[in-house]
Parts: sequence; C-alpha cells; structure tokens
Amino acid sequence: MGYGAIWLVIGLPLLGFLVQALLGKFVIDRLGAKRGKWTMGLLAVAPIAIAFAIGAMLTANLASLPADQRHFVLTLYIWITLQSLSIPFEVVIDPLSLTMVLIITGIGALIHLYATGYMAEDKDYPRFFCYLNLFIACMLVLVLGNNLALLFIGWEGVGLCSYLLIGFWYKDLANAKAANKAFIVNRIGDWGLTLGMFMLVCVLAGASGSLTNGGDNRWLSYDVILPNAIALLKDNPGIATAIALLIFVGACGKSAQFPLYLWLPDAMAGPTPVSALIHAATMVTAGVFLLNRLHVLFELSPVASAIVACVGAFTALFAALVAFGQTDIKKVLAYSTVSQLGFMFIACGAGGYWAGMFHVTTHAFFKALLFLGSGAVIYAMAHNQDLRNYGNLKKYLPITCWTMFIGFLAIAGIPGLSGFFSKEAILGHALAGTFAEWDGIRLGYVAGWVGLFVAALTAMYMTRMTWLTFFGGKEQWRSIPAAAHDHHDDHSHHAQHAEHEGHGPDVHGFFYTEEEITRNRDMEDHGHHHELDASHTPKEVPPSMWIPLVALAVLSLGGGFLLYNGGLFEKWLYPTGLALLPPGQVQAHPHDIPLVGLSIGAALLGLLAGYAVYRKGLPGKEGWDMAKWNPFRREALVQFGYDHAMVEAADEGGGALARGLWRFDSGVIDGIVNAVGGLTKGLGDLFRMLQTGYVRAYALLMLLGGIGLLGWFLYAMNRVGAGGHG
Amino acid sequence: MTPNGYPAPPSIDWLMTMPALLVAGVGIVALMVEMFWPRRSNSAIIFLSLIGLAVAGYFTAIQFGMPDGETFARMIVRDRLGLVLQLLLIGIAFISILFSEGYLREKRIPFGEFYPLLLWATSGGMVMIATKSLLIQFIGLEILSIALYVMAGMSRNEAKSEESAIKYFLLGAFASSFFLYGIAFVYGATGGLHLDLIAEAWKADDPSMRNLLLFGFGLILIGLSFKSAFVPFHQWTPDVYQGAPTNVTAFMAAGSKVAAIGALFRVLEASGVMQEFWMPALFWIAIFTMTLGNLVACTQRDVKRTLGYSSIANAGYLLVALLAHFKSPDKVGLQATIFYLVAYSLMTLGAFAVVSLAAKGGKEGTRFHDLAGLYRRAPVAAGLLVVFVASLIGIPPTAGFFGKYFIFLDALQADLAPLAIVLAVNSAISIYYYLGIVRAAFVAEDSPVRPAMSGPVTFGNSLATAICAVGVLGISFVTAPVFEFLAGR
Amino acid sequence: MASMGEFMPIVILLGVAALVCAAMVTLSWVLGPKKVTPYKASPYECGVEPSGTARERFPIKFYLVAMLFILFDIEVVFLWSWLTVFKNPGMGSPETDLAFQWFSFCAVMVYMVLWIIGDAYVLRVNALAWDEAPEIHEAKFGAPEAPAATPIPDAALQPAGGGK
Repeated sequence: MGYGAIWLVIGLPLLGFLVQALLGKFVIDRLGAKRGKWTMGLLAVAPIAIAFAIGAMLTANLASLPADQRHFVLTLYIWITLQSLSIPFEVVIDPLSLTMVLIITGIGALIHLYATGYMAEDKDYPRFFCYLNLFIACMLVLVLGNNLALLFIGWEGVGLCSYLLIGFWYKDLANAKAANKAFIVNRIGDWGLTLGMFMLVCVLAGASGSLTNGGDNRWLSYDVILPNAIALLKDNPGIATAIALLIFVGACGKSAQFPLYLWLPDAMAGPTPVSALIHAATMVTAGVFLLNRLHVLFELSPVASAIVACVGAFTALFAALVAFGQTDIKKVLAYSTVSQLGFMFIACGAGGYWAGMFHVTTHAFFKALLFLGSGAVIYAMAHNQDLRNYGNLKKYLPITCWTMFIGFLAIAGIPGLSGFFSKEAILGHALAGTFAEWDGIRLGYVAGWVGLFVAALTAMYMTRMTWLTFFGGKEQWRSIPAAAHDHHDDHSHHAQHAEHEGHGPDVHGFFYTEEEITRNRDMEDHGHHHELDASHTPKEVPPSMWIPLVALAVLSLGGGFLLYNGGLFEKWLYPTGLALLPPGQVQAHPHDIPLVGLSIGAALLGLLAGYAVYRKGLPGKEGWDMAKWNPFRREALVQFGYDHAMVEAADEGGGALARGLWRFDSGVIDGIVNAVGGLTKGLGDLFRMLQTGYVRAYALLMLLGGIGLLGWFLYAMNRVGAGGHG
Repeated sequence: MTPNGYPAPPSIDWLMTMPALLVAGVGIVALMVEMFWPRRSNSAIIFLSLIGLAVAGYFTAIQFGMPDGETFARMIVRDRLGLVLQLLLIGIAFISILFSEGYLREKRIPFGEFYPLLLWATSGGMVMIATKSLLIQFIGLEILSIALYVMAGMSRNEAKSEESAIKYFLLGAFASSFFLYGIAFVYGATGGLHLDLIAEAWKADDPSMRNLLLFGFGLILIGLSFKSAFVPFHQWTPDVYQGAPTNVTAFMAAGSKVAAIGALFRVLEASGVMQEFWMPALFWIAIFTMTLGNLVACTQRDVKRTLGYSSIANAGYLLVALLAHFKSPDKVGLQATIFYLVAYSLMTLGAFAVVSLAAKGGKEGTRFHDLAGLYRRAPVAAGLLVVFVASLIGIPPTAGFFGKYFIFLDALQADLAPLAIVLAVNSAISIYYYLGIVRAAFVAEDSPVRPAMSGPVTFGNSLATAICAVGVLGISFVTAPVFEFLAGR
Repeated sequence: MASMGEFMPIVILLGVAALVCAAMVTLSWVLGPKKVTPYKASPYECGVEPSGTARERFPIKFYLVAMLFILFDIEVVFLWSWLTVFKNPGMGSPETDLAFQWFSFCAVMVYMVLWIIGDAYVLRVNALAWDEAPEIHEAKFGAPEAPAATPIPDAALQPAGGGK
C-alpha cells in the first residue's frame, strides 16, 4: 500500500462526519429509531476502524524500512504563498505521527463502538457521532500535519469538538458553562502557542539569508524548522528558551498542566465516551506530542526543560492530592488524568521524550479502559456518578469489574502491567538524567523523586475508587428511599443522592418556560429514565460496551511489556538517539538508585494503605455528612480553593478592567467614531441628491461625464501635441 | 480576398464558438419547449437549461491548455482570460437559474420565457468576452442588454419593475449609441473592426488619425463604463436593481459586470498605446466610483438598492485591479481581477438569493425592516447571509477578503498607492451599511404591525446559497492553486 | 482614406434634394393665397366633428405591431443583399463558387429558421391578437390556493428611484 493512503486515513473520518451531519436525521426518520441508530452507529464506527487498518498497514510498511529512511512528506497542494513564507498542505509520515495515528484510530474505534451502546437512548444520536468523527479527523490533522499551521488547525479543531461535546447536553446550564470554561482556558494556551509560532517564523525567516536551505521558505514545516533551529539557535539559548516556553504554554493549555488544568475536571460534564476519548486518551496528550515533535527546541534549552519537568511534577502531585477529595467517579479519573499527564511532562523535561510518548500510549490503554468502565458503571447505576452510592458492584457487573480492575492495577504501577513500564521509564529518565537543570540545580532529579511519591499516592486513591465502587460488601444505594417520583417536593434529603449526569430539566429557566420544564420533567419521570433508589438492580452492560472494555484490558495487560521489551518503542521513535543531547546526559537507568525496587515498593505501599482504609467500603467520615470529613479532604474537594480564586480573579479583575476601558471608549473613541460617521453620512446625503429618479437627469449626467472624458482627451492631446511620440 | 473583392468563406474552429452557440441554442430550444409543451410547469425548461449550461461549461473547460487563437475571420478569440470568464458566466447563469423558479412562483410571474432570456443574456456576455472584434463585442453587448431589459420588466403588474425596465432601456440605448459611434470612429481611423488594428494605426503617427482614434476610444469607454456602472455613468444602477425582480438583479449584478469588465479589459489592452491619456482619467473615475458608491450606500434603507450601490463600489475595486495591471503589466498579473470577479459573483449571487426569500404570494418586501426576524424564519439562510456579507465587507477567511487584499497589494506594487488607500478607506466605510443588512436580519424582531414576508426556502435556493457559501469560504483555502491556475502556470 | 472627390456626386445629390424640398415648401407657402376661414382652420377628421384633443393615448399594441413589421423589413433587406451575391459569387472557380453558395445558403437558412421560430412564438402567445395578453398557466404557480392576479400595491412596496 502506497503512503498516499494516508489521505484516506484523514478523509474517512471526515466523510463519516459529513455522513452523520447530512444524513443522520434523515436515516433515523426513515428507518425508525432502532434500525436507524444501528445504521448510523455502523457508519460512525466503520470509517475509524478502516482508518485504523490502513494506519496499521502503513506502520508495517514503514517499519520494514531502514531506520534512517522512515520519514516521508506528502504535499497535497500549496495552501498559502507569501514572499517570505509558504505553507503547503502537507503531511508527514514518520514513527511519531503513525504511533499517534494508531492510538487515535485504534482507541477511537473502540470508543466509538462503546458509544453506540452508551448513547443508544439519546435523541441526538447522529449529532454525537458527527462531532466525534469530526474530532478524529481534526486530531489526525493535528498529528499528521507537517507544519505548525496545520497542527494549529487540528489543535483548534479538536478544541472546538471538545467544546461541542462537553456541552453536548446543552440544556443544562452547568454543562454549557463547563464547555465555555474549557474553551476560554484553552485560549490562554493558544495565545502562547501562536506567539511561539510567530516567533519561530520571525527568527527563521529573518535569518533566512544566513541559512543554507536552498530557498525553501516553508518556515513552519518541521523538516525546515528543526535543522535550521539547530544551526541558528545553538549559540543563542535565550531565544530557544523563549520559543520553547511559549510553545509549552500551548501544551499546558491543551494537556491540562498546572496553571491551566482548570478546565479538564469540569469537562467531565460531557458524555463518558467523550471523556475517555478526548479528555483522557487523545486530545489532552497533544501537548506531549507537540513537545516530541519540537524536541530539538527543548534540547537547545535546559532551562525550559527544567521548567517543563517542574511544572509536570507539581501538577502530578497537586492533582493526585485533589483526587483524594473527589466523590464523583469521573472527577477522580479526571484528576488522575491530570496527574498522569504531569508524569509525561516530567519525562519530556528530563529529555526522555520517548518515555513521555510511551506513557501516552499506555495511558491511552488503561485510562480509556477506566473511563469506559466508569461509564459502564454509571450506565448501570441510572446515570448516578457518586462513589458514595456504589459498593459491591462486582456482584452485578462482573465483566466491568474485572476489566476495570486490570486498568486499576496498570495505573497503580503493579509490575508486569503496562503502566509499570512507562512509569519506570519516566522516573528512570528523571532520576538518571543530568540535562534538565537551572542554575546548576538538577530540577529533573527533584521531579523524579516527586514522581515516585505521586506513584504511591496514585496507587492509593485508585484503590479508594475501586474499592468504593466494586468491593466492600455494602450496597450504598440501598439506603436511598424508593419514593423517587415525588422529588419535586422533597429536595432536602436525596437531592445529593440523585444527581444526574447532567441532562436533567433546565432548572434555571434559560431556555424553557415553566410549562415546558414541567412537561419535560414529567416525561423524564414517566419515561425510561428513572432515578437511582433502593429498588434499583444494576445489570451488566450490553456487548457493544463490554467488548471494548475487554480489548482495552488486554492492551493494558500486555501492551506495556510488548512495547518496552528490548527497547522496541524507544528504537522505533528515536532510532538514532536525540539530535543534540549525548546519551550520557539522557539515560533511562540511574546507577545509584534501586529504582525498580523503590517503585514497586511505592505501588504496593499505596495499594495496601488504600486497602486498609477502604476494605470495608465507604468509611463513616467520608459519607454524606461533609462536616465529618477531615479538613484535608474538604479542601481537596474544592482543589484547595485554586479554581475559585482563579475564576474570581478573572471575573472581578476582568470586570474592573473592562469598565475602565469602557469609560475611555465611550468618551474618546466613540466621539471620534461618531464624528467620522456623521461626516460620511453627510457626504452620502449630498451625493444622494444627484439621484433624482428622472431618466433625463441621469442621461444629462452621463452626457456631462462623456463631455468631461472626451474634453480631457482633447486637452491632453493638445498638451502633448497630437503628433508627438506619447 | 477573392477576385471580385468579396471575402472568402472563413475557416472555422467550431470548438471555440461552441460554448456561446450552445448556450444560445439551448435558449432557443427552451423557448420551443415553452411554446409547444403543455404549459403546466417550467421543470422541463429548467432541466434543459441546466444541462445545456453544464455541457457548455464542459466545452469551455476542455479548451484550457489548447493554444490561443482566433477563428471566424478573427471574430472569436480563445485565450485563458476569455475561457475563465466564460466559465464564470456559465456558473453565474447556473446558480441564478437554481434559485429563480421558487422566487418567480412566489412572485407570481413564473414565465417560462425567463429561462431562454437568461440563457441568451449569458451567451451575449460570453460573446462580449470571447472576441477582439469591436462589432462582435457590440452585438454581444446588445444581446445581453436587450434580454436584460425584458427580464427587468418581467414583473408586469409592478410599477417599479416597469420603471426599472424602461429606465434601463432608455439609458442603455443612450450608452449603446456612444459605443456604436465610437466603433465608427475607430473604423474610420483603422479601416477595420479588430482591436489589434488600434495599436497599428496609432503607431502610424498621423495626428488626425490619432485624434479620431482617441475620440473613438473615448466613446467606446463611455459605453462600457455604463455597463460596468462607473461614476458618472452609474445612476441607472440603484433604480434598476431595486425595481427588477430579485433573481434578475442577481444575474445583472454578477453576469453583466463580468461581461463588461471582460470587454473593458480587451479594449484597454488593445489601447495600451494611449495609456498616458486614459490612465489619469480612469484613475479619478476609480476613486469616484469607489467613494460615491459606498457613501450613498450608507444612506439606503432598501436591501436591493444598497446592494446596487455596493455593486458600483465593487466596480471601482475591479477598476483599480485593472489599472494596476495595465500600469505595470510585468509586475502585476490579471489574477487579482479575475479572482475578485469570481469572489464578487459568488457573494453577490448568494446575498441576492437570500434576499429573494422575501417574496411571498405576489408581494415582495426588500426594505431593511422587511428582513426583520429572518433568523427565526429561515435560520440557515440568515446565517449564510452573514457569510456573504462578511465576504462583501472583506473579513477573513472569506473570498472577499483575499480578493480585496490582492487588489490592494497589486495597487501598491504598481505604484498606485492613492488608489490602494482609497480602497482601504472605502472598505472601512462599507462595513456600516453591510452590517446594517445583518443587523436587520438578526437583531430586529418581527413587528406585528408590518408582518414580514418570506416564502418557503426551496431546494433550488438552498442549493444555490450552499454553492455560493462553499465557494466563498472554500476558495480562500485554495488561493495559491487558483492563482497559479489563473496565471496559466 | 478616400479623397473628398470620390464623394462629390453624393454631396451634390444631397444638396439638390435638399434644395428641391426646401423650394417646394417655401414656394407654395409664399405663392399660395392665404384666406383663413374657421371652416378651413378646423382639423379634418373624415368629415366628422372633432371631439376632444388630438393628443390622446393609444394602445401600446401599435408599437408591437410596428416592431414586428420592422423584423420583416430587416429580413427582406438582408435576404435581398445576400441574393445578389448568391447569384454571382465570383469566387474564382466553379468549385469555390459552389462551396461559397452552400456555406452561405446554410448560414441564411439558420437565420431563417430562427426567424420563423420567432414568428411562431409571436403567434403562439397571441401577440397580434388585439385584446389578449399572454397568460401564465395556473399550474405553474405551484400552490393551488391563491389566484394569479394578486393586486400588488402595499405599503411595503416602494417605487424605485425618486431620490432615495
């Protein structure tokens, strides 16, 4: 198969998107809900699955080539041509991009399949898959594009899809707000990324005279950036640091690192398959991908790398602590995602770029598994997401329970499972490398120890989640009174118990009148969508949902070992080592620290500590009565006040600034504008008087115009002399 | 020449003449369908017209890459510019037909004759572009104009439609007489009708001949300026645009302008030797055209009239592009002109297609307040209107933005900085009235006193607006290949 | 360009024609007796008493008929000039003569066919019938409910032009 097939990989999801958008409603109307949804589900899964097959074949092709020839650039056409910059529509085929393609389409296909079951009851079935297919297409453009402009298109495209999907159940104001938050916070990251891009172009194009690249002015294309950046910035680490940090700001936004992580927990408002695909497995790893793509820039700047490692370590620690206070099963997983992303950045900061990508891969396996598992639990528990209502579900959901248990062991870092290997590689790089340093301090080393501590914490909070959900003997929801239908009147007691996953009636009256709200509520009550109460008996999910779970469980079990074995993954991504850093500065195994022992110890410690606390299910001091919680957990629930502070600051500060600007605007600017506008209108009125409506007047003006034109010719002719050589 | 002095029968390359002949011929067949078919529906005529246009488009498209040349005793010419503009005209006619039937029905004037007339107008425009012979150009101009006069007056029960037709006819005849008189002068000076003879005659350096030539050229320029709506030959535009049925206005705004600018290009190109005389004159005409069109548009309260003034302003922009090309033909190609023509046609057609939704049950309201609440009644159409207006304003990433941007660059490159500045200032002015249209469609609510009218959105209308929107948005992603293509590389 | 001498006869002819016309009008005015009586001064309308003003409107159909007549006129002029060449092509040899005759014959036939279609159309839409205007078939309006001739005037409809 030729490499041109890569266009199919991008094109198929795009086609799927169009099919869903244009035909979805029609097909469902025509074939009826059941068969229509089945058809549209098939049409949604098939393009992704085929794209995965093509991607796999291309990967096999590429792997059969010698290591130094695994790089192709295919150009579709020249998109933008300026004097000093040209941007083609081109894709790059190399190990990094194909790895991402396999993750995106492989995991994506499984999650699409899962979603056909999960969303089966939803009215807006085609709209969901329309967004989801568009997301896959955008993500593929992001990873396959050979220049930063295409990456940016994909970057914004996935951001848009993420926004649309978080707010998928838009009738609930909270969901719409969460979507807005994700979109706005990501703008800050995009600001950094675009500035980084501009600076890169300025630096490269500005020095184009001194570069020897044969007039190739594709200054945003990776194959032009990377060699030239080395030549140009090797002796100028300051500029390299600035560019690298700006790009890292972009990565922070998309990959939810510390100052900008705010949006990811709120993003859990979206349907669970979305959380699994976009907010765990693929989109949020775009930052790590970007750092891998442009690793040369970071290699040029140890300072930037040290900052990356520190931000990663702090995020990992912070998010792990917050996870202890969460009661919503998806929020726990969200913070765990933030924390694991922190790990990936520790690796990139320490120069272990391949280890970061390795963790991206394994994390995609087990985090998708955990999210889908949690989705299955939520599905089985009448869309209730509170851990405190669960317990002993292994009896009802055996497949979900044991597949999810494998995911839990993988993230906890139990030897032999995938998470262990990637975490090991990350911590090894951090503890052994001497690269990421600032002012002589080995910040990467510090980050490594922090990471080891966070590994223990991870094992512990994941034990908490797993035991509260599946084990512990007590079936907590049995204590919810069975009279759920009168819940209009009785908010006080089980309002907390019976929180939906969000698509409840619009209590704020934003979109509906009172009547409509009542009608909707009645429909919900009498329809299929009942509340969780004591009479509820969870049922195992349908095959379309547990098949992906099993597949992901297998990957979580064996994937890590297969890829790690013999350095397979490292040699695949970086066969010739890094561009600049010598092997001595970046190595995977510290000689002076017994890392394997320590990390197994940390994992077991965390696991045992968690088991000791949660062995018997929900402890009394973590129950519904928040007053009994210990202060740490209460603070962790609200992210130690960080989220609140940021939102307040943005709200208040932004408001004051805006009011100040408004005063200036209404006084000075508007005055000038109105004056100009008045002048324009006055002139317009003047000219309008010529437009009398009489044909004779029009003809007269034409005649005068003609006389003027010919008169000018006559005058000019006489001036130059008719016979002269004009 | 034969022994007795008559010209020998010309040898003919039929392929070159095929597109225009085909369009005109299909028009005749369509008229016969209207005559002899049981007259119950226009579907057959529409179908036939669309097929005919598609085939004509095919025959135009396959000529790309064939060598340039002339046939029919040098009366028909083939070159890249001619082919592109003919193709554009065919496209304009195609889109106009798509949304016409629904509008004509709502307007209660579904004459089957409309489609043949439109096709003949198109063929006239194509002939104007595809010739370097002045007389053939005149014939094309008349075919185009006469068909348009009839179409403008098609809404026979409406006084303003009749007013539009009679004004257009009287002033058009006036302008045509200038044109014809100019041809006579040029014939007198050169002894022929082919444009290439102008340069030869000029170089003969005979003062009296030069006077004749310059006068003849000036008169021809007046005729074409009328058709292109340059100030001060523009005054028919708003009245005619407002009164004519909206679909006719759409074709007039797009098709007639393409043909006029194409013909103007041919004449100016052949008269390059006289550039020192006409360049200053057209320089000022361009400034006045842009400025006056935009300023007066700001005071309008009728959408069609506003778009009429906007088309005057756009003619000014196009003139700037032409002047930049002729000022320094080595540095500045003709791509910007053609690109802007394409962009302008798409966005104007799209905007008029949306405005044509305001007809219902024989009535039509096109004042701003008649658009009120359009976003509720036809949300998609209202949304697309925003796209077209954004393009007319020149907001990236629409085709209008790139078009204006390239004209701006061209003007700077050709040392016509004043024109570039006037263009930029005018773009800013134009935002006011364009946004007025959007505001009317989105902000204002339906008023109970004056219930807004809007007919059903037909499939044809959806298709036409969709094509225009895809074109307006899509072309900006392929500007580089389009430019390469237009430049013939 | 031809010298002025070639056109001299025509100029003389024009001059003589103008002179003769002017002479006839002027002389009859100068020489004729001028006795104005009321009876003589009244307009002659076939012996009927004139009523109302002479400047009155008459149907636009007159123009239509006149225009159609012009088409016939043009056609005759066109055919006439073609026929003179058709009879004596003088292309140099009999073969080229024949080729020319065929070519021009076909060309003129195309013209004639189009012209006949036009005439057929005129008859078909009853353009020559004095009282009838072409009607649109009801079915073409699509919806069956409203009649074809809805009165148009409405506050929302503004006349074009008029300095707005």
